[in-house]
This record gives sequence, structure tokens and C-alpha cells, in this order.
Amino acid sequence: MTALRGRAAALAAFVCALVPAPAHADFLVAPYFAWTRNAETERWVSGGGATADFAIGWLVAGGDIGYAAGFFDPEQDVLDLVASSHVLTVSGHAGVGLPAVSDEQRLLPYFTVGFGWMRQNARDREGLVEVTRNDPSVNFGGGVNLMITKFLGTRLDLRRFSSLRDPFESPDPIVADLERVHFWRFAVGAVVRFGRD
Amino acid sequence: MKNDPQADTSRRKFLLTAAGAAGLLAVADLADAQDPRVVLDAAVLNYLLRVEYVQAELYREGLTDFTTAARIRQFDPYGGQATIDTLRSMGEQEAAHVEAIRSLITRLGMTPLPQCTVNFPRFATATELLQTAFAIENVGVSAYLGVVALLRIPQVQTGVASIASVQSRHAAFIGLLNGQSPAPLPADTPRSREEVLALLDPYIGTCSAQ
Repeated sequence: MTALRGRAAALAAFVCALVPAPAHADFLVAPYFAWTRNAETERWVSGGGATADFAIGWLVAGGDIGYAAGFFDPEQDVLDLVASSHVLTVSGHAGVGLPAVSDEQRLLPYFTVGFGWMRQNARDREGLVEVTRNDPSVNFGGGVNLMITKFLGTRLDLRRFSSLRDPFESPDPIVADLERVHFWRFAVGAVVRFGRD
Repeated sequence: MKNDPQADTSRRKFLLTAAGAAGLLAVADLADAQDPRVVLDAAVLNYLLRVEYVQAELYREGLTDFTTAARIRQFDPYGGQATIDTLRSMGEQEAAHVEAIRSLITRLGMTPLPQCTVNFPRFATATELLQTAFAIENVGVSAYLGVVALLRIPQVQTGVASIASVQSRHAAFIGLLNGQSPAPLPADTPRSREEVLALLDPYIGTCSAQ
């Protein structure tokens, strides 16, 4: 964990050092619907969330909160044994994005990496078994803002999230094959831009 | 050198963002030692454990009704003492299933369903005991069949399958004693959780820590 925090601090310092004196800054808010793929169950589960970005020139930084309902539900739980499950991610991110140099510019691609918190939960129907864990996580991905007007557009985003924590600290051999939780998330939503002159 | 106030503000926002994200690491709870992906396997095992509690108690409690010579003679049409010995052995196997399933749940880092109270009526005849056993063993077979596709952990799959095959042997033996075919159909049919629990409901009480 110490090494991870060190890398995170170095990344933050690097990003801050790159910030130029901007001509202007944009603040973007993007609520979205999302589909998250559980690689083990091979299911896409729906959810949603919101992203807020602060863009200065080529640099983008912000935060994201996303929710995927039923993430750990089996594909066919014919016995209805799992009552509910979800994954909640809260993360900060930084990266690069094509700056909007004019109001006529419609396509604004971006790429960011981030880290934060991944909450995983599942509980059974009987109320006997419930697991909630909170893991540090990293994510990377990109997308594009398609501006319809100067202040409003749509956003497509594809992002991979990975937990930084092993499933069990001292795993029994029967669960030793479990990998760290990771998944892809595809999001579609609106984007609202503030701060344009 | 002149400072640009706008740039200072921007840097401050970036720093705050980075600091906030780094702070999330401190929020992460690192004390947990379980994984939500095993909840389904544990739930399946607890479901089967409920069935096994009933089966184990059936033979343990039921055979206590047949300890006197007169009562043992009721088993003469069904093979006599040898059949009682086999039923006792089956009861021991059901108790072993209970322990095996509890062990698997514990190894998943989860809590097994506590022992349930099980109430069978006093069996007046060997026939009554064997008819009840026929029903209970077949509930077990259909319960195991219904969970096969749900398990994700290979060692749990193997453990459950190895118990399921013994369940089928029990059901076949009890079927023969009841004058039924040991394998009446080419394929068995799984039962839903609701069906299984409804069939066990007359016998099973509360499940709570002893």
C-alpha cells in the first residue's frame, strides 16, 4: 500500500507540474447510463453514475462515481439464492483530452487514468451470507464528448476498472484461483459544459 | 516573475483532485477477508445443508424406534438386520455430508447454517420409516440436481457432485425397499428451492446457533 500511495502521489505531482497557464478552463458534468461486464459470469449488468471533469488545455482531471447493480448475480440463478449484489466505484482521474479551441469543434476525445475506491457487495436470500469489501482500485479508459451545442452534448466512455487487492489475504486452496476483481464499463450519457466564454 | 492568479487556481484544483483521490485509498477498508464472488457457492451449500440436516436426523432419530427385537422384526420383509445396518450406515454418511458441507462453507470464509431442529413423527412401522426415507432421499436428489449449474468454484463442484452421487445411491436403495424401480427414469428432474423447502417444511423447524 505504501508503494501504491507513493506512485499515486508521484502521478498527481507529475500531472500538476504539467498544468500550463490556460487560455480558459472548462468544467464538464456528465451523468450516464452504464453497462458493466463481469468477465466471470460473462454478463453485462446495467447501472449508472456521473463524472465531473475540469479541463485546462490538453489536461483533464476529475472524479467519477459509478454503480453496477447485480454485478455478482449469476447468469441463471434458478434457485434465486442471491438477493442482491453491486459494485460501486468512486475515483479520481487525470489525463489528456483534445481541447475545444472553437465553438464549432464537435468531437472532443479524451483518455484518463484514475484510482479510487471499489465497493463490492453480495448477499444471499436467507440473510446468512453477506460480503462487503472496499478495495483500492485503478482505472483507465477514454471516450469522446460529442458536443451538440456549445454547452450540451453526449459522451461515450469505455473504461477498465481493476481492484488492487487480492480476494483473500490467506486464501484457502479452494479459492486460490480467484483473481482480483476487474471489469470493463461502457457508459453513454449527456455532457454539460460550463465555463466557455 | 509575475504569478498568474488563474493558473494558481487551476493548480490548486488539480492538487485538490489528486489529494482527494489519494485520500480514497485511506478510506478503503483493508480488514475484510471475504470475497462476494463466493456468496453464491456459500448460499448453495447452506441450502443443501438444510436438506442434509433433515436426512441425517431422519436415520438417527428414525432408527431409535427400532431397537427392540419385536420392532426389528418389522424389517424382516425388507432384509432384516442387514437392512437396518445399511440404513444406519446411510445415516452416518448423511452426518458426514453435513460435516463436509459445513467444512466447505467455512473454507469459503462464510458461516454455515446453524443446526436446524428436525421433528419426525414416531414411526409405528418399518414401512412408514421407509416411505418417509423414500420421499426425503428423492427430495435430496432433486435438490442437488438443481444446484449443479450454479457453482463456480471447481472444488465445491466436485464436493457437491460426489455427495450427489451418494444421494442417488441412497434413493435407489430406498426405492428398491419400497418396491420401486431404483432408476425409474433415464433423467431426473431438478426441483426449485420453493418446492424443496415446501417438501421439507413438515419436518424442519428453526435453524439457530446451539
